[in-house]
Amino acid sequence: MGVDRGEVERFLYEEARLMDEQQYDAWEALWTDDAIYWVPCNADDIDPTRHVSIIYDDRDRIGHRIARLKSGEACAQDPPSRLRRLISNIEITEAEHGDLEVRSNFLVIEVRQDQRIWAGATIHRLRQVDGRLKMAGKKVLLVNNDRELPFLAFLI
Amino acid sequence: MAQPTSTSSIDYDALIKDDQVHGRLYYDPAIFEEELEKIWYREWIFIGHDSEVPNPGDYVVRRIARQPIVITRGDDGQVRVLLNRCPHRGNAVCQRERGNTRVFRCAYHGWTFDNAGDLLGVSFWSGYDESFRKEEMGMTRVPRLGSCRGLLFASLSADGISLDEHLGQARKYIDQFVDLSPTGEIEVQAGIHKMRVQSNWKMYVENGVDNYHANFVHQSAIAAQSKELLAKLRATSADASLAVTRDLGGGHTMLDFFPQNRVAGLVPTATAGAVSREAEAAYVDALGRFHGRERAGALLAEGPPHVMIFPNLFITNFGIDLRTIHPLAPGLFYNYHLPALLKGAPPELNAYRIRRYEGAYGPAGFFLADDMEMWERNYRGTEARVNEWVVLRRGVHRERPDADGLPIAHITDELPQRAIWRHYKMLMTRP
Repeated sequence: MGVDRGEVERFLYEEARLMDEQQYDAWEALWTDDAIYWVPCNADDIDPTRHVSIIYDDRDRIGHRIARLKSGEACAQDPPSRLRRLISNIEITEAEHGDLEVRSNFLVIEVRQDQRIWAGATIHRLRQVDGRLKMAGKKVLLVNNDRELPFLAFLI
Repeated sequence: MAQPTSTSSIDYDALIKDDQVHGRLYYDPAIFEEELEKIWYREWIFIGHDSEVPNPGDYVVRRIARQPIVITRGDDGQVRVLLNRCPHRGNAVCQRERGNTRVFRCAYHGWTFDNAGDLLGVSFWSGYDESFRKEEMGMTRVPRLGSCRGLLFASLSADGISLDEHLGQARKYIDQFVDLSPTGEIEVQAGIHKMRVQSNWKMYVENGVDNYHANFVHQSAIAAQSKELLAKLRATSADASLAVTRDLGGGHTMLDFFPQNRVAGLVPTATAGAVSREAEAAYVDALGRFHGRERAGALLAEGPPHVMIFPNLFITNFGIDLRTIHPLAPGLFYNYHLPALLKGAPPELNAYRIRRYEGAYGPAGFFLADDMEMWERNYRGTEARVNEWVVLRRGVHRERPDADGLPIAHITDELPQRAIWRHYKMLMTRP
């Protein structure tokens, strides 16, 4: 299958902007129904059935996460974090079932009372659905996933 | 180890009243340093679980407040707790968070220690004469180590009350947590959530047994998941609620949700619909075989306790984990959650428990992220210095003894906070 690198880049940049600007409904619409949103804890490769994650959301829990953020009553996002992130080092590899596996690096500046930096790599599993890319999976490898973290209440 | 001999210049009687405490207790660096000496480096401190180091040579690096420690299992199978410090020039010896080794080697000058901490070898040995006593130059062991159902507690003071005395009335709630396992054993082998919180450690201790805030801080988390759950939790805080706050003595406090959970059908351990019928039945049967049907039934209906064992072991009714804190500065502490697997339970059930837990807890958990924000706001509020009193008066008129004579009050009352401060004052003013 031919891969349009431009389309993949546009997708990643759009996703980044939706997260930065708290456009929750639009971000939620990027997911497929069988999606997993995963931020491993303590190491990049863990067995999530035996080891706790920072986030391991199935599609239902992604919905709960968004509903909570949209309620305006989540203290950890009231006021919402000011966010800007850079996405770089994009590498595309073919994956099974026609899904695309895309690796990229990110750097997020989060401003609340103080300024926090979050960094890591993301592995997206992207799928063509009705002529547009959607996220069937997203695994976020924080460089500090084995260190003491401040709360992570925004979308990463 | 010599106790500090200087007497305190701080008048704790003036700062801690029965129903209010002064903001200085949270932010004053001098008070913080005294707390390290009088509480953290003296009392029984929860540090971990022996199942974190199941095999000879296993070790994990932890801390007691600021002091770095290593929990290690020696080749002889015994668990020891060492200060993570080379007795030569003071370098931190262990750099990895966890691992397995027969030998700890200090990278600074190459000294080696076995996994019991005893000195094995000194490089360029001829530089020392016969007055060098190898047996005195091992990595220092913490003076006292105790265990309860595999939970490890250490004290950096050679003297003091026993761990049994320390746990007192709280001990049976450790049993209640561990007994949810169908083999009577838990395995703390599911990773660790580590949080960094810019607040004072006592705000954490107070908040853990404060049910009043749950109605506000956690509303968005509960509502997002289930309106039915929200209604049940509202009922838990209502005037007619059967849930109570408890002062267990020794600074240990509790939110006793059990009576209300039973009538409301709010079952923290419920797995129906979340795991297969086979897995659920296998777990319930195994629990009944191990504990007897009556005890197993009570455990399943009540779930884990919600208990704060002073100063740093917290177990919650909605969690699967052992929680601890490590104060580093007046406005900074680390919070660790150690999720426990139920040994012998179906893997599917343990996987479900992890999923349920991490939806609520950890740095991105729906409950904990909001709590962390509130602990930090709580500390920021102490910068306001015109009126510095923190009011803990809620429910003073409703305190009463339970059937065993222990103080209880309504579930939203500040009885636990008053009990914590009373105990704190005793610890801070004793010789």
